[in-house]
Amino acid sequence: MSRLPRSLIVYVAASSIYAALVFLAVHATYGFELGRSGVRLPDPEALLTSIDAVSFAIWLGLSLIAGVVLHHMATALSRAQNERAQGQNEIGSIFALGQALSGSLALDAIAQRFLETASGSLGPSVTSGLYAQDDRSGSFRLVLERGPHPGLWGPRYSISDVPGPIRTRVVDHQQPLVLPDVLASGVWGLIATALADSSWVRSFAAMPLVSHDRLVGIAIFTSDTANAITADGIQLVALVSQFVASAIRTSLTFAEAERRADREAIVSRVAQRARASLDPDEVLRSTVQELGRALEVRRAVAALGASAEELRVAQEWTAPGITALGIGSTDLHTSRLAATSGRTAQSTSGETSQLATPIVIAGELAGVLAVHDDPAREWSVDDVRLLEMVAREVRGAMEAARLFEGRQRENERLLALQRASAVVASRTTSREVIDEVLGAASALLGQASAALYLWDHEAHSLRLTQSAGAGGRPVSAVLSDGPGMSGDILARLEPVIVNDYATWPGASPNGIATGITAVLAVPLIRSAKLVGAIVLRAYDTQTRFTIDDAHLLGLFGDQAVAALTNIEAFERQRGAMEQLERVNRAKSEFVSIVSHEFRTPLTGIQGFSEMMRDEDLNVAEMKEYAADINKDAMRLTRMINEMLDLDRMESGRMTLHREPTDLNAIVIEAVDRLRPNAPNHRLALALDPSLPHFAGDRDRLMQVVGNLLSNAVKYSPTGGEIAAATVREGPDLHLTVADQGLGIPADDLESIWERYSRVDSDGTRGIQGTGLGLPIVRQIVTLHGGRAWAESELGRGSIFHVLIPIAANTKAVEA
Amino acid sequence: MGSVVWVEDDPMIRKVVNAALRSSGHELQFASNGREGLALVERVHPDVVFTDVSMPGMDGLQLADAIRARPELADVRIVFVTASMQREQIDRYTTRGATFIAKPFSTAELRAHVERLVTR
Repeated sequence: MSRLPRSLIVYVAASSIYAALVFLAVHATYGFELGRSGVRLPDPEALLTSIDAVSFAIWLGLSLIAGVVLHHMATALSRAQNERAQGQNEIGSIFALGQALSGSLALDAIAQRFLETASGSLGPSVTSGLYAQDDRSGSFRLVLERGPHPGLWGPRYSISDVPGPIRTRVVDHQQPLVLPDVLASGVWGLIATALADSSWVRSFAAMPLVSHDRLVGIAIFTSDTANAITADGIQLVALVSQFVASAIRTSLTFAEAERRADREAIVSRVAQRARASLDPDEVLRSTVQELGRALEVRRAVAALGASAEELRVAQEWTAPGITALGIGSTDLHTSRLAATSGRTAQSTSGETSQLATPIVIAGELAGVLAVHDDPAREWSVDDVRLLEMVAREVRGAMEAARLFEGRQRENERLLALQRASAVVASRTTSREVIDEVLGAASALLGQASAALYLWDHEAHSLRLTQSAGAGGRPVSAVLSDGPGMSGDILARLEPVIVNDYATWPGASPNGIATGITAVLAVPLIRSAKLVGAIVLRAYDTQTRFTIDDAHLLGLFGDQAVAALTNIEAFERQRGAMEQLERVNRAKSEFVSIVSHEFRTPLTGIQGFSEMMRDEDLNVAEMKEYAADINKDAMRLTRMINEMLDLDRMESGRMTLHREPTDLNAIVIEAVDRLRPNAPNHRLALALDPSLPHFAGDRDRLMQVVGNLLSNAVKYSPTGGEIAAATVREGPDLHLTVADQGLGIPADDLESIWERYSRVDSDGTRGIQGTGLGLPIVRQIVTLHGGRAWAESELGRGSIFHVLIPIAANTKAVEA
Repeated sequence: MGSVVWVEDDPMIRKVVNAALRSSGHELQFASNGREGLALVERVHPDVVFTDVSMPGMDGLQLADAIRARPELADVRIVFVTASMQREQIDRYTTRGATFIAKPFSTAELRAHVERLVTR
């Protein structure tokens, strides 16, 4: 369509030229027609001139009017055409925008389309920018800016930073703010103060982007030309902004959903790693990495420590180009805040914002997860939630790792214990067992000496029995049992754990002097009674004993108690078995000996009596054989009596009939009885006249002296002196019977006191005995609380000693 | 006429044996322990040795071993005179031709035993 001339002058000039041309044509026509008709006018010149003038004026007037009318019509038509074209154009651009927006979810693409449309509408002098409101933080983020003057506005505004007039009108009331000429506006000054260099701005508008009554962003327009932006001009932009707002909202919602999904994925990744790995370091390393990327921060840190003061960076992730704090760093202000409060903490100092949440395991601080970002940023609820969720997962992982570590350590210890107990079980003496237990306990629980104390019933205290690994340091021989001291604690069957020995009230000056730094002691308990204690003493500053160590040492103690009990039981059992075996052997020996000893006299009796029966003997022979039979019968009787006596004495069934007894009188009587049977011996007596009477069994003591005397006679077959003597020796009576006979080999000096023992020497053949005389002597003397022994020189004779206490403090059983 | 050595530590038994065998006409000599008995056996080389088993010093079994260890005494018969019936011990010897009689023994039995061994 051709453009219509719009200027009024053109129309007036055209109509004037038209009027002049028509006038000249009319004038010429009139002149020709008048000439041809020959009409002569009185003053044709004057008449024509006046007619011309009038008609010219009329034509001119008409032409002018027509020109003006035409101009108006042309203008109107042109405007109408223009408007139609523009309308078509705008509809086209809105349509194109709608199409573009309908498919796009990328905020950048939406902003691009929108700003293109706005520029098209507002002209090239306008710089436009689109801010989207971040749902998490509520702040406005610059999505895109376009135009000749970018950079006037900041990349991000928190709500409080938004210049007042814009905040009030655009953010709060969701109305556009249009300042066609900023110099004429009173509010621009309020806005301009928030901007760096706004002196060039002449025209400004801020447009809320509202979708479903919710502000999703702000469009900002600035121009260096006054009235470049007008309320009318911005109508189209306002219209388009509704589409855009909706698209932005969708985009933001989608992005938000994506972000949430991302975060959930992060949490689940952290959780997965946490479950898959038992290495807390690895979990922390991957966690800070995930956190840093997810929260788009500059730095993510995992710090460990049991208290705010002990927090040290353990793992750190930094965005490219950011200097790391460094492992072990304590530059963790907000983390300490979180550790102290036990809650998530955030802070902003200078250009840096920090967010930290504590990792608490079983009520105790284990560490802190923290993120740092700059420039300063407001942490959204979602940021906090993500950090807390990740911290929870990390806590789970650390807990599991600790549990595993603890179990592994426990396993190792149990293994060691098992090894130790296997060794303990293979040892058969208590000393070896204790050595093993002490060695293993000392090795397992670090550099410490180990000592075993056993409960001394009589002293009522714990006494050192054995110690290992003290390295030459003196170890106290008795555990003090004053209130609060180790002996006292152990007596209550409780373990002693001391990690700061020097300040422990129960510390002994000697202990401090020997450099003890820590003590661990456990009671050894059998049948709920204290039987002893194992005490570990550390002399270095590193060793710290825990309740776990006490439990472990307790297990060792149990092993030791069990082993000691076993060994005791085993030894008792073995003792009992040996005793039983001895008794059994003695019994069978006894039976055999008895049968042998009895058969010997029986052989004589049987043989002599058969001969008396079967043979023709003279009276002398008869009498001799009868005497032999009698002798053997007597021997048999004596043997039986002595055997029974001895049996009663040995089994404790013998009762002494004590009465005031004069030992000298017994000796005199015994010697008198012996005299007829010892015609070849000289019997000498040396009796102490000061010998007091004492409480003794006269008949039994007669047996003692009688047996000793008859032995003396028997074993000095060639005669010689037999000397019986008594003497008082302090609290005792001392009886000796000495002969000058065969003597006894030194090896046999003790065995002669056993039943049926016989000494083989050239001189003893043919000497008959029951084999029970000396055992009976010893038994009777023992029953009187005394003792009997012999000394001898082979071939020169023997001396038998009996020592009997005067006071009747016998150990014998008196039924 | 045979030759008999009797090793016995109990004098009463020696006496009863002596009385029982007095009339047999055999030469009877006594020893009171193993060592003495071995010397006697070596000296007289008897037809038969009667020995007590349980004696102090060298006992009857050791004496038997000592006799059997001498080839020149291989024909000497050994009879254990035992009070305690230590069968297992004696069996070792009886399988090698030794015999035994138990205490107490009857004089008739003793005489018969001696006759059987000496006259064979």
